[in-house]
Amino acid sequence: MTVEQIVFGCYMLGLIGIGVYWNRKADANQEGYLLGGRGLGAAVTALTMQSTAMSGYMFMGGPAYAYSIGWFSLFYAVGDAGGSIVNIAVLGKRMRRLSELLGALSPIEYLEKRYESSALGILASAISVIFLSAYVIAQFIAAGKALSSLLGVSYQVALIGGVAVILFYTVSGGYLAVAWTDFIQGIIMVLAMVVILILGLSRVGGLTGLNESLAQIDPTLLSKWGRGLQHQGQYGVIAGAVLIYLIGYMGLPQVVVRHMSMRDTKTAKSALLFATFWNQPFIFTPYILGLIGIVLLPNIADPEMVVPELAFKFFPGIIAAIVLSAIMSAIMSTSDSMLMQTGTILSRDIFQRFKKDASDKQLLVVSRLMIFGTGVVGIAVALFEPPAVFGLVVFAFGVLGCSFMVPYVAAVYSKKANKVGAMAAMIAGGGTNFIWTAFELESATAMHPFFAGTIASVLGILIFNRFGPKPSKQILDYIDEAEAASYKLVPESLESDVSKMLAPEAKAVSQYLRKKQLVAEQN
Amino acid sequence: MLKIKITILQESLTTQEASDILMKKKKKTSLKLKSFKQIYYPYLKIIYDVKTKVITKNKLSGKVSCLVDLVNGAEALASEMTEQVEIEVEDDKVLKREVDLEEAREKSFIFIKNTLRHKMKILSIPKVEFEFEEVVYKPFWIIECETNHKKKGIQEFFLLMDGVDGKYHVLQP
Repeated sequence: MTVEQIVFGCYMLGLIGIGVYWNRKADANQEGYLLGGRGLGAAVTALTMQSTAMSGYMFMGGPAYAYSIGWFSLFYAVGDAGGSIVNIAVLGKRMRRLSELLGALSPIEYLEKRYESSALGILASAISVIFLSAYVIAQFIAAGKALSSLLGVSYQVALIGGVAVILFYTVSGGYLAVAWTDFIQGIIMVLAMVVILILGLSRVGGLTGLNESLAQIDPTLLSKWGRGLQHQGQYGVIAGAVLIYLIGYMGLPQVVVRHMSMRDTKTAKSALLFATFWNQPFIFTPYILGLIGIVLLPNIADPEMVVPELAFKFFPGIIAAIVLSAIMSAIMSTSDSMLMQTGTILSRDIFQRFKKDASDKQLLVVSRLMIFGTGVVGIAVALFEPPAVFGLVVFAFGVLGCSFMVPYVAAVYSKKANKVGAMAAMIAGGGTNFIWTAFELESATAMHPFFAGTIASVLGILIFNRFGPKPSKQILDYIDEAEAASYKLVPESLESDVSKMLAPEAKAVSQYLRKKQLVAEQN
Repeated sequence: MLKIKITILQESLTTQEASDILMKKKKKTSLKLKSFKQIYYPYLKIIYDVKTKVITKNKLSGKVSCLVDLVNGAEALASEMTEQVEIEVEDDKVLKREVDLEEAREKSFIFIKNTLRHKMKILSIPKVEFEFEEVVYKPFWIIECETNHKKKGIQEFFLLMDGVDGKYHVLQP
């Protein structure tokens, strides 16, 4: 047994230990545990949120893309750096209020109730299930590669082993995936990335030295058009690269759900600040590591292995193994929550709709089939024709973003937006992104799939909105309330502590008071 | 005015306590609390006995209580087992029940199962057994507030404050 295998084994046992410890502790206060992570502060929430959000992409996809294209890759990071702020500033409060008024619990139910169409709900569910699964498959590939490098086994064995572990982890999930373990992993990952960055930069002579070396290898690596000037003059590609993570988060069901579940806006605001601060080194580092890889690892067979290879190059075996274990478990944690989500969407939002009297057992079977089905398809794809992690994530992210961004934004900002317009926006946006990627139209049209999809989605809602029925009076009233003239009267310091849990009571009491006032006026 | 007897979840915060909560949060803004009116909100409280058998088998075995709002039908887990008190109040201070008890029971049962499964990520079915139920009322304060806004001048708004834990929400005029 190698040192790395022992470290990995110990790391996993350690995680289980922490999980069991918190689990026991939670026994004393079972209701508190059930009611969710109320005790977790903004910092832990933010670190947990970020560190597990894009693990496979950040450690493998991002560096590999930078390795292949040079400084151009940083356009993705520029958008990502401001993505959370744009997301919360545009949708944040309004979406939270509207979802309260609609009584929607999931982001799909929210769209369905806002646009008053169950067909839209089914379409949204289907898009989510397919492309969230693609996202998970990218994580599988990353897990296979991380494990293969760590344990010194073949990619095939590592992949099957890794996916089996992830599936098991998902089934027994709640016990290990405690926020605190994610927090500790987050710290290890960021520290590791920053230390690798510092050591890497010192080896190549800082950013200046890095650029000089890159210029010697290929001067176009420094160009804003990408290596070999492959995107020369293609502003539509640059726009897409910046926009995808700048505005695309607003179309991700698994991200916008956070607006709906915020208990109060105060924690959300602090979490946002922490996340933004945390984001900066974490977002730019992977791409710069990819650039460092071009200089230090010129003959690497698989560019997705830049970060693991650098870890082994700079650190003694034990530390490198800890870093890779943290990467592996972060990937597991991301896959776990996404797999659970796809299982739930398929069983509740699709299956139960067609079979209203479905028993608990049937729902469970459907959920499990979805999870294991994704596992099997994932293994098949990852074994026979593994796509690049970067490409797959950008594809899945792009289709989800283009499908849902416009309907989510229009839901709170446009009183005219109706079900026909929203469905057209989803089909045109997601479909265009899909076709653009599948037929590789990016270079021919000089336009990024995300940019093309966004334009198609906006046109879709503008054109087809004319054909659908207007939203009902109740929905229009809700949109007014979400914009909330009454909230504007309330001082900010009081408003930030408003409890979401009391929304139904506040709605009922407001109606009760209105009725009382009416009776009083009549008398 | 007709008086009726109801069981409330807990003695309410006093107007002074409610006022202190808001005054602590107002920070630099001016805030005047002009009036306090108490109302009572109906819930169906159901206690369940829950058993799950996953890895650490005692994890979730125990009592879980659920409150179903009898006006809107919204469900929530009750965070604490509070002491209950029987009081006599004027009937116009009590919100009328709009959800029938059978419907509330069904909603509560589905809610508790979904919550357990969702929170615990359990992929096996938790065993949930009904233990006890009763209709209870929660005291709330309707607070009329006034602020003096720099640009907009004097502004009035209403808050609804939970008389048990002091949490609040804005009322729509």
